[in-house]
Amino acid sequence: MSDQDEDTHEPEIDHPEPAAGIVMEAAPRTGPPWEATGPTGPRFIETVKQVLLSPTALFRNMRREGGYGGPLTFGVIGSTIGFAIGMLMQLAIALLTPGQGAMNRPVIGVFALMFLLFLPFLLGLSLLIWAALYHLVLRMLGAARYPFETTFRVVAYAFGSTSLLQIFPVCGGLIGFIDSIVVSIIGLTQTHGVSTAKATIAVLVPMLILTLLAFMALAAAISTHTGALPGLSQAL
Amino acid sequence: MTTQWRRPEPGRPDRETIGAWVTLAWVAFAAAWLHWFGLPPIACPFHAATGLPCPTCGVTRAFAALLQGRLGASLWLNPAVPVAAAVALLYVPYALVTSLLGLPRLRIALTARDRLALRWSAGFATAALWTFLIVVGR
Repeated sequence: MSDQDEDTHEPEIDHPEPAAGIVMEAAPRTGPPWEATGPTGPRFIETVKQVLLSPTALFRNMRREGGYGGPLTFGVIGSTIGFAIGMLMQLAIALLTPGQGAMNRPVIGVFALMFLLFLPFLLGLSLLIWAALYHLVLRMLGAARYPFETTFRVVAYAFGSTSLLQIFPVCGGLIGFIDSIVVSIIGLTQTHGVSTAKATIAVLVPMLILTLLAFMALAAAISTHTGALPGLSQAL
Repeated sequence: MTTQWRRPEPGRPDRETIGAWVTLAWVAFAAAWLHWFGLPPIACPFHAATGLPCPTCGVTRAFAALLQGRLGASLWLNPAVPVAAAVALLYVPYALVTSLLGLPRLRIALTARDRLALRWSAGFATAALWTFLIVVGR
């Protein structure tokens, strides 16, 4: 969340406490620039800019329904560009690294190409899975006031924009990961009308569970490979 | 630069709630990676390719040293980690208390000149950190 977001001077809107799950709307939602008409490139760039710099304003204006196609396309384009460039940079660095002469470069190239071809499908599927997980936790908290599509739209715009930060070398991936969490929380508060605490739980709980499972799998894989459990002393 | 304490606007995301819990989650991720599962530090591709450290080289080891209470070692491995930890130690309790108790929040309004100074300071600090890491041969 940037200062620009805080400083965005919008018309003052009253937000009375919603009664019985009804969220009061002061103005109709017109949707992000991506859902407007005009050339694709500028619409995409403007949406990314708004998600990264003023997420509150963007999600406050995002339509809760209106089809999966637009947000899915945005999410897949953004995350594919981010992941592909990030992966190619890592690959280039790995191939340029001294001492990696034994690597079979053509085989790696073929694998990378195949992975890049499947990447949009994998990323589209991952958007659906993340949205389903967030929505499940929201429902468990009794906070899912709008259908699954609303959660999916938040996830698609959030991930499609923050994934692009991976194009920055060194720590772009980490910053993008953290920003995707923050932007998703903001998106859920502004679309489902839930408290920040519930939105934070909905985003962090699935992420923590999946991360712990991934760490367990990784530790098991390393222990299978080395024959011993990895330990902190080895890590240092 | 001016500071003021004010309550969050209704209907707006609560920055302190997000900041506190995302910071704590990040620390939990890092602690789980290093301490509980004992996974190895992530290799830096920039260092592997050029032989030079990047500004974030040593962060994982510095964090691990900090978890073991070895502050000196942490400072030596990457000074940004203990500094960030000190900021987090101040920020997280403040954010948790204000958000859980619904207290007014600290808001800092920066002028254009302040923002420029902040950007230059951040750039200088990064350059100084990177120089340090290169000089000590991280």
